[in-house]
Amino acid sequence: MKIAIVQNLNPFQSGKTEMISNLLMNKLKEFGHETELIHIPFVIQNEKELIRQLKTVQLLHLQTFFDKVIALEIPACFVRHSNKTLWLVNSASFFQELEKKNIKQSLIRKFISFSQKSIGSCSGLFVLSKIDCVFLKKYLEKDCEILFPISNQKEEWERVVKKLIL
Amino acid sequence: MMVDGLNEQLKEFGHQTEVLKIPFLSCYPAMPAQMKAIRSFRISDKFDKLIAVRTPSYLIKHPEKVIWFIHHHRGAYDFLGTEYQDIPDTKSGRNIRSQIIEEDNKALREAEKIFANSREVQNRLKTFNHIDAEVLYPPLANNQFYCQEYGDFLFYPSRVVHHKRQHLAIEAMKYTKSNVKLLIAGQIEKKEMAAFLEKIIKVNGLFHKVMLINKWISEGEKVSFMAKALACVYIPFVEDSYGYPTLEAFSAKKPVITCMDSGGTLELVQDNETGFISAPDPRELANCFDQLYFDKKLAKRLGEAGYEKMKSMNISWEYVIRRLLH
Repeated sequence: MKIAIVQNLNPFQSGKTEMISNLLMNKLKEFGHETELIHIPFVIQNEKELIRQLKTVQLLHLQTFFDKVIALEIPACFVRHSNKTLWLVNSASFFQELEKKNIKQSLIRKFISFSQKSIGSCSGLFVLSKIDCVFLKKYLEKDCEILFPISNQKEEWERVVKKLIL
Repeated sequence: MMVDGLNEQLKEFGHQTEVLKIPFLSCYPAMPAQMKAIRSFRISDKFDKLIAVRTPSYLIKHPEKVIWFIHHHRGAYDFLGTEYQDIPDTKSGRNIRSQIIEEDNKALREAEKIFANSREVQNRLKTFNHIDAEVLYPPLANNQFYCQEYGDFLFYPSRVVHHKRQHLAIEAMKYTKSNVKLLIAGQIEKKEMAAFLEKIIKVNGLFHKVMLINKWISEGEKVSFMAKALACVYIPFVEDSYGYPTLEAFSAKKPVITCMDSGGTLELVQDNETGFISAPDPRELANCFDQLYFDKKLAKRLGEAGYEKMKSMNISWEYVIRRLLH
């Protein structure tokens, strides 16, 4: 399978998302898939920019190149693809940042409606932690499953990958 | 390959780098929306410098943007009016072509510096966009090529698309009088192309003369094939640069057979000096193939001259990085 792992562009960082994306990429390759890591640039500069940039993400074309998209972060996960699974890392902190920015309620509503539409069409919605689950429920009214590889064993990653690419 | 090499070498020289890969579907109705997305990316606060390589990544705005230009979207430029034109001459086609040219002109003029990967591309930038660019030849990412022998087969390593004209090389094999064989290795991008090439082989009964490996072979396999090959065939139609196969062949001291309409390859290949420059005609190509098969000393002499020519051009990463960053 040709798989794109999609995340936000955060150059020169080695946080949780980078760790997960690198691990996932290596494991997918081990299991025989062709994998590419795609970084989507996104900056919440101001309120006006927010919705414009979300729409920009949707203009990118991944459909022809990949059989599957596994998206790891908001808002990179808003890319369009007919076979997209979300395994969201740090979604709680994305919403916390949004709250801190004191963004107008009307804009937040727009953002939520946009997100719900985009996420609504995905094949699976997974997160790494309970807190991410809570925030997704609170903001997007979405139920999700916690998916966390408890070890680096082959069998454990087989379980994770099976869920992600189903 | 060029981007991977550049990334690796920039790191070697002590810089922090990230390769930003942006999927882009070069199908004309889908292009304006994707161009708009790329134009809207904001990355100025994340990087000190942007080096844009593939079209249309240079649409990204950055105050310190350097472009190492490798080709236009050629269907909107030099392929116009040829069989490779991929944008129709309709109202919407013309409109999209104008948008591509307009956006290119804007983005190119924002750059601090523009380099072209060959004189061919430098000329195209001058002709179509009125831009002066400096030629900066791309070195090989990892040069492990060597010569083991001048064997019995010609090697054509490249992506298999129509304008690379692997079909012409196969057709030439109909007319060879020697026992020379042809090995084509590279991913065939379209199913129709695979069927087209297989049909030429089948109709002409060339199974014993032509071998087609339809995949990206590993670097190790490529090095090994090149080491044993008699010569390299590289006959694209108006290629942008000298093409990596040319550089790889010369690194392995192998002559290159190219065509007089192959574009950038002619900057490196000289007829009867470092290889052969043939008309894009199967019979003429077959003559070149036979000539090298029957005279392996000639193959060796031309290949060694290619190696010396390449060395004299100072194609090195140190030079490339100095020009791109300073």
